[in-house]
Amino acid sequence: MTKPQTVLEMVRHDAQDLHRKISANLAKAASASWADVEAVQADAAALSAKMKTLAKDQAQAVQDGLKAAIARLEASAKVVKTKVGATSAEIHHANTAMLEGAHEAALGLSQAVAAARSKLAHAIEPKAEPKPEPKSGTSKVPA
Amino acid sequence: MNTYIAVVFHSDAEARLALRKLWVMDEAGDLTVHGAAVVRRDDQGHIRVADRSSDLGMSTAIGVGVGALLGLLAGPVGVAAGIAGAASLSVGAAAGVGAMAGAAIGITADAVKEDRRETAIDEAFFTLKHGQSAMVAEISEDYTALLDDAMQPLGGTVYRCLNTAATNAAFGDSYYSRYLYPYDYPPMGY
Repeated sequence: MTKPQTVLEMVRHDAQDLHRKISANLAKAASASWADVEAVQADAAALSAKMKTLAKDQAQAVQDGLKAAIARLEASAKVVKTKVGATSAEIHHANTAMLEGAHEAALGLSQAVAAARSKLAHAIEPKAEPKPEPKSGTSKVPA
Repeated sequence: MNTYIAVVFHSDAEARLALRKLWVMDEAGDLTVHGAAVVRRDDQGHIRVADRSSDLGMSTAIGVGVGALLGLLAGPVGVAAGIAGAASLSVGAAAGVGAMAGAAIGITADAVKEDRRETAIDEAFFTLKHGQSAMVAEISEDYTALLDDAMQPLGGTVYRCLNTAATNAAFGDSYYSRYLYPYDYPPMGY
């Protein structure tokens, strides 16, 4: 049976998928097209929007990581502008910038997932039994 | 707890199984993987990263990052060797990924191990011998026993190093993590 996924885990999957797609585009090298870049740009924008919503509910350290990743994703999106007849170098540059953003997003989200899992693990772990206090009035063993 | 790990195996096939197992554990919520890859030290002492067969263009960068990671796990002397090796690599070409870094780490690690044996300090120490493979990763784990228990039946020895600001500073500009795969991937064969 598959474990139910939290929203955080699902968005992390989105970031991982985006990373895979961009890696595949980079691997195409000379045969990569600007249409490939634009296709992943749409996914990056959707991911960025989901992360903004999620970031609000995270602890400060995790929130900082997610904000940095969002900023990186948005900066990489600016590299991607509609371009007819882009050179393979320009396509490579755009894909590389997008990969950086996707990686930072995947890392930020996995840190958020780790923090949530850790919180849950500590909440459900068995607590140590407190040592029983000696009863008052217990008589001492006579010497 | 954020940790760098290396799990050393006698064969590449075992290391690949370990990588798969690590991601299965992530899916089950036993731990969280931030990035992972499989590396192998060949019979000539060269360390190679098993990247995806389609990612040949990224090989050099991945080799540099993992070289630094292996150096970190090899201890203070190994860190220096790893970073020096990585710097040499960035000048070199893509072929023979991690070759110089791997050789430097291997020699240094063996030498330090010998020295420690002499001083009779029995301490866990990472070294990747000729012909061995390792699954390297950055993970978060709450209970170390989960990973240890999962890797033992596969025949792996687990080495850990805490991920702290101090350890990351040792990487300098070559902070490796961006080069480890942030998802499960089928590693390329050698």
